[in-house]
Amino acid sequence: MINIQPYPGHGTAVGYTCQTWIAKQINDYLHPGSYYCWFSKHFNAMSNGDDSNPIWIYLILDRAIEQGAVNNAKVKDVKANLLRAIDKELRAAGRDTEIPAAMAVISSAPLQCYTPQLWKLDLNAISGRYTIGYQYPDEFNITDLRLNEFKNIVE
Amino acid sequence: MGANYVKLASIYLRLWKLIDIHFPGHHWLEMTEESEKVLRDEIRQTLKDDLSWAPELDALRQDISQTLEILEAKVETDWLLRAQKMRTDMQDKALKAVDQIREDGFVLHRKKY
Repeated sequence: MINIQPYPGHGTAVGYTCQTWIAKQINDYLHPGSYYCWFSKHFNAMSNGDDSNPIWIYLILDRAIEQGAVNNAKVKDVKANLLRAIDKELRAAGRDTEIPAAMAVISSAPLQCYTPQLWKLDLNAISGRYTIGYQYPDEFNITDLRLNEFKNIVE
Repeated sequence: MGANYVKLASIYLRLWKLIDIHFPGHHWLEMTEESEKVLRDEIRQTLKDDLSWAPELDALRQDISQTLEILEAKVETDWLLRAQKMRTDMQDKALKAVDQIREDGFVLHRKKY
């Protein structure tokens, strides 16, 4: 006879974030191997607003890619944030001469580059290096996530 | 002096972000830390700078002033609608300026801003 075990509950040692293919590459271009991101401890962070919920962000972006929606508001938001990061961080690093070409590359990137990915973060590996957010209960920020501290589990 | 779309994009990206940071969840798509105070100070400084390189100078000055004004009017009942429109407009102008950089065929060794 089957014996159903009670659900042990969400693990506490993992975090989830939705990033795009292009965002990872821009991150690598700005500061190789070190990633800035917001994450939650639930894949469906229901205690957060939609815009701070990895599953919702993934769904919106994935649908936009599948539908060829180049003018999707969320895609444009991702693009604008990439451009803003390029402008701000290259200036701060004294790499101003790289800005025009980098902006042109982002402008030319096809819609497919905004394909969302889901990263699963190892919270034990980043213990002490992330901070709690200011808006919702299940949001956290890390500024220097490293390649060996997360896995791309949906691409 | 020719139009400088890199500078134009930079200003409109700041104007857009200054409004964007007042909307919930904006930070989840960000790749760098943002500060409202720093953005405001930079934009106020921009109004004092020489903007003769801008392709539509009056429109740019108006956009900068209106962005700063809308942030002062946050208690008004229709603020959300007005700010949402302004946020979209500033984003569209930023993306358009960046498209112009690409359309100008910019590469490092061919054209410089």
